[in-house]
Amino acid sequence: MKKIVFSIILMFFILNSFSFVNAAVGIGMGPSRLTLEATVGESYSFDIVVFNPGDYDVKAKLNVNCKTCLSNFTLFEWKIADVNEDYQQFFRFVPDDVYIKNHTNLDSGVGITVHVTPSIWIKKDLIFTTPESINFLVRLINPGYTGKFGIPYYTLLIDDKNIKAQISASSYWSTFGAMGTVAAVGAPLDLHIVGMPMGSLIILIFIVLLIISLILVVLFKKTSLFRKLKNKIKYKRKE
Amino acid sequence: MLNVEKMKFTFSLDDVLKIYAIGVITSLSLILLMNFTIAQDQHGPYPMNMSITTAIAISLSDKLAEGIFYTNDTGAENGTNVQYPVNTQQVENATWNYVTVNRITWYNITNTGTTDEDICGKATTDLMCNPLTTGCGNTEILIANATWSNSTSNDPPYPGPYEWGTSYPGNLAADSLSKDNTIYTRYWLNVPNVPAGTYNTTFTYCAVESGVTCNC
Repeated sequence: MKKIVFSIILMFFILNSFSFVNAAVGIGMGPSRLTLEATVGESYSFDIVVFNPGDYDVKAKLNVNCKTCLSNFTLFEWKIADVNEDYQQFFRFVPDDVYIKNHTNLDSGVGITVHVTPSIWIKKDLIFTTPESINFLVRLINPGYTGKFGIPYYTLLIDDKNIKAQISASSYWSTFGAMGTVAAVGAPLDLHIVGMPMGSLIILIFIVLLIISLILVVLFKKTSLFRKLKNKIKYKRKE
Repeated sequence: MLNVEKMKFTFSLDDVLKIYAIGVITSLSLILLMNFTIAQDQHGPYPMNMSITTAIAISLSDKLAEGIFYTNDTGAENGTNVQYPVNTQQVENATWNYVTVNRITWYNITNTGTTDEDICGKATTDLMCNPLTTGCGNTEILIANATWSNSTSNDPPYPGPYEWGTSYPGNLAADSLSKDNTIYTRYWLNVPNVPAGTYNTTFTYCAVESGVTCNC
């Protein structure tokens, strides 16, 4: 009888161990959401913590994605292209690639300093999507063509801008072996940027116009164009 | 007709030049002033103290982290839980959908953070055969052929009601999953009529604080 009871208990523990034998691969980040006020031309920094609640060490990458940066470029209500505003240039993670030991938490995780430097210039890309009939021909020359091409340009950050972004940490390597499923965590970031005031832009345009005018005046004087113009008018009158 | 007799200069050209020179000096001063104002890295960095009170974290079971491998073996039925080539035009299991001993799944995701979380998943691409592979090179299996189900108990139902996609929205594996709670998942692949070969993609599970847009 004792042997039977012992066998049952042993089987119970063996089965239980089968149920919970699998370990875990994890990633964590704090804080869970961020709000930031910034002004162009000034630099800000804050710390976040990345940790690993799993049973294996991991390597993780930090990045920032913008959620409100893709918009339509329309002409007479027809969508011509997509416009992608690149705000990633404002962010820098130090470090941006970290090794995190297992069983760490907010207190024992890896500190990351996030530098935010809003620029007066915003890089934008006008992204055109070409039809498949054209893609086929382009791929004869460029086999890697994806069916989209972008034209970069820059604009000024005027007045205020609210950006909804996401800071995320993704584990891409683990000591247990190759990862076919990646664990990632994301913290939303509401960034309010105070850009160049409209009044300053008007002054800037005025200054540029002044400089252009001065150059023209010097040019006219040096080449006696005013005199020639005056003479020409007089000559026409006499005629 | 142009009345040229009325066109007389009140100022000489030199006077005009002087006015412009003053204007330009003023303008350049303003530009320099603005340059100081808007120049990068001239001010700061201003350290911002953020108190970290909440943290987001997830743990994937190691069987899930190593990847979702599909097999023509149902796992529990012959007791192997290994990957065998799938059969075309069949619905095939993921290898650890039904663990040999007690038919539970070894695919799970646990909220190891300090707050409620939403967890969503996506595939990087459709399932793709390596272009250099003979037979299936450049062939794809649309990722929507891969389905999944979830449950808070270790018995996610078949068939999988959800299809994988290549973006997070719509692929919510857990909604407001409480701290230290686990969501269990199972995966299937509806294998279309495609050439034999190895088709790959990378899956990602993303956790965010409950209530915000799930995106990583």
